Amino acid sequence: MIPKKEVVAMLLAGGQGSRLYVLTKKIAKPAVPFGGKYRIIDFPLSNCINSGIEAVGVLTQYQPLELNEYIGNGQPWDLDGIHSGVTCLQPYESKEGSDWYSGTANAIYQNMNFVDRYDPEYIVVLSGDHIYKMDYSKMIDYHKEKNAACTIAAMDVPMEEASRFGILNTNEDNSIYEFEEKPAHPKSTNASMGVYVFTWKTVKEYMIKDQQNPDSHNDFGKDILPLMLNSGERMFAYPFEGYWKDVGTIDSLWEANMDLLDPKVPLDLKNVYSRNPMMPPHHIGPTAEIQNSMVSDGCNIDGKLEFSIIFPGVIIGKDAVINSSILFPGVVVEDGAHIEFSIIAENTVIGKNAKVGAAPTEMENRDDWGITVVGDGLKIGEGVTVPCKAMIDQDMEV
Amino acid sequence: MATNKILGLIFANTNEKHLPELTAYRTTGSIPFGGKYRMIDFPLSNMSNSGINNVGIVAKSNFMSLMDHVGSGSAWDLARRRSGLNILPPYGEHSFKTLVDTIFNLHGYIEHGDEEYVMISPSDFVHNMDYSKVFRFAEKNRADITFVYIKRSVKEITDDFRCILETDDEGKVTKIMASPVDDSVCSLSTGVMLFKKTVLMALIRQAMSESKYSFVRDVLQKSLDRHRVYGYEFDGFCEIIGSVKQYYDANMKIMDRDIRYKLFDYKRPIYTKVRDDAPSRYGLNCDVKDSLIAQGCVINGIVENSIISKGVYIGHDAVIKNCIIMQDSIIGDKAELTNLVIDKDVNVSRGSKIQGTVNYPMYIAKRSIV
Repeated sequence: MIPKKEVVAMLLAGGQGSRLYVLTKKIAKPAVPFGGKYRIIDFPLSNCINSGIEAVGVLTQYQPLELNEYIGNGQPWDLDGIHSGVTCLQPYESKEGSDWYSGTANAIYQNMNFVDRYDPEYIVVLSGDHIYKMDYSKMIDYHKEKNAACTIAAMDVPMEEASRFGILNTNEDNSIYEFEEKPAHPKSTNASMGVYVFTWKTVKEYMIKDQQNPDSHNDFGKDILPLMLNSGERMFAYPFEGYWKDVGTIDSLWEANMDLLDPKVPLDLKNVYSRNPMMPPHHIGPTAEIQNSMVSDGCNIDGKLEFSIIFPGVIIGKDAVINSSILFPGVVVEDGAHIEFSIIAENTVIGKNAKVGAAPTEMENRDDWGITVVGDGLKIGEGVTVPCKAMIDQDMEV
Repeated sequence: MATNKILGLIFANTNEKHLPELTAYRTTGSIPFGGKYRMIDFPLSNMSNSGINNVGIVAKSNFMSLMDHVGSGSAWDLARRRSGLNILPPYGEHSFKTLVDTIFNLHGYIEHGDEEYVMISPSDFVHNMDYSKVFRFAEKNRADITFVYIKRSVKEITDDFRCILETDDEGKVTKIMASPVDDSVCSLSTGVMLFKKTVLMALIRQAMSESKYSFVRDVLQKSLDRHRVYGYEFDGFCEIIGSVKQYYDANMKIMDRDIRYKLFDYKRPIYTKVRDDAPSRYGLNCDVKDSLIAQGCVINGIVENSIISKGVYIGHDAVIKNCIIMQDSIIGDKAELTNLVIDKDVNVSRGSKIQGTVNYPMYIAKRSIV
């Protein structure tokens, strides 16, 4: 018998993250490294435990090996209780057959028995591709206070960006009267953050009903939320203030990392938990120069570093220059190599005097510029030039 | 693994009298080392990496920080359903005075399990060693006692764990000396000793029955004529720490990349209790050279040839040279610090100038406000 939990969190981590290209070739998006030692999923998992949510289901589907291994028994996030903690939920075969998760709502529909074991009053539905710190317990209190069936966390975004988001149009009491999915002409700037609180009993009925509709995508945003609104359920926007960023694209992933170096950005990494590497402190050599960067354990830095995020175990040789770049764990940068405005994935070797990426100021036409991405486990040969905006997924030689 | 046959016994308070400053609030085993470790991480990780799953830490006194550090032992993979990690404080009427009476008083724990061997280790030295090699050496030679020794010249020996060995070509110990004859290079026992359990307990009972309490004289030297005693040489990096100066020097040695890679061999990692510190953050006008920096630091000033432990803050225009700064200390703007060992949670105020000397690094106590 599993003791009742008032709240169960369901974390959607099955997406391929195709807009991260080579970075998600072998791993699911939530497992993508972030912020010098973390992975994206550390943020929602840490938020859960910091909000007192001790039962978390992680819905995995695409390339789950590394993600499942990383989550493991949940111990780094204190999610390894006897009757609670984190559970990875893969698509499975049952008497009725077997299906991949066809949509976000379907993924939870297929795992209703997991949720029901805890007999919760509420579920929190989270995404595995957002960087933010949030106390979900306050949002749940708000949900109770409003006697809502569904509460959606929302934040104010600049008008020019509003058309990239799902927009919530609300009455004065924050009750939602309309959804607009990526509207060309948004009526408001109240963007959904993809964080939902549902009253479990209610949303369960809608998920069952939605599952019977053959035309449905079985998606929360596209199907369940409009269905609930049209049926007259009480739905509220929960105003959130603070740092939040969707890191589903190369540009936004790079920007969110760079935000960590900006003292004006209100995102601190306190109480964000992760698996920690077993490496000694990093060493800064006699020829190194470091300005405005973040460096993790196990690195050896002998080159020049500016505005960069360096993950554990990175080696940077003499006269190498790293500017505005993100180097994932185990990257080796040989002597004299230049890396600018790039993301270099795990264990890749950048050969001597190679040149990767370019600064926007070097470009004649600003539109030709973009972040360079080099995939994991590759070797960029001595003296090779990797142009800006390139996505590299194989070794390169001159 | 065959090393399941070994019970590990680590003595946390080893030679604390040699390091009165650093052990004022803690055991020798819980002295911070290398920016993020504690001394006990070395014997603990070595035992765990060598497949020794049953480890007792003998803690005589001052062991609050030690217990906080080792917790359940999970960081060393020693939180096991069977065996695992145990902390052994004094109990009942027994206080732990010497190695002899300590081992005697722990006979219940030592003899409880079915391990055939007992490995004893002090906690005042740093090294990374595969103890399963010592075990295979002992099995091959049918040794009752096997010393792990290093080649070193020493002026004196003032502790219970260490002695000087003379060995023949096969490694058989022919003589055990309590102190060096001169300062030439000799075979110095590291204090890591592998005993057949029955042999150890018989020797200890014998010494106790005669009210003899010197481990070297009454146990080790006595054993020579009756038992098979061998020495196994360890030729890797090994530093025994018996003074603040030696502590300082040993820390500074890991600045060397080859030594660092050997001591923190990624195939046999040194584990420690980790905190969830963010990566260290370097400010816009910092200048850092030749230094070892742990996670969770914020560095805004100038740092040269120093070890900066986790969570340290270094203010703008501060100048840190040849220092070891332990965790969570705060160095104010424009402070100038040279040749210091600064303990945990020290607060150095803005503009302070403090200088030790190269031969005598000055020590600043835990939680001081300077």
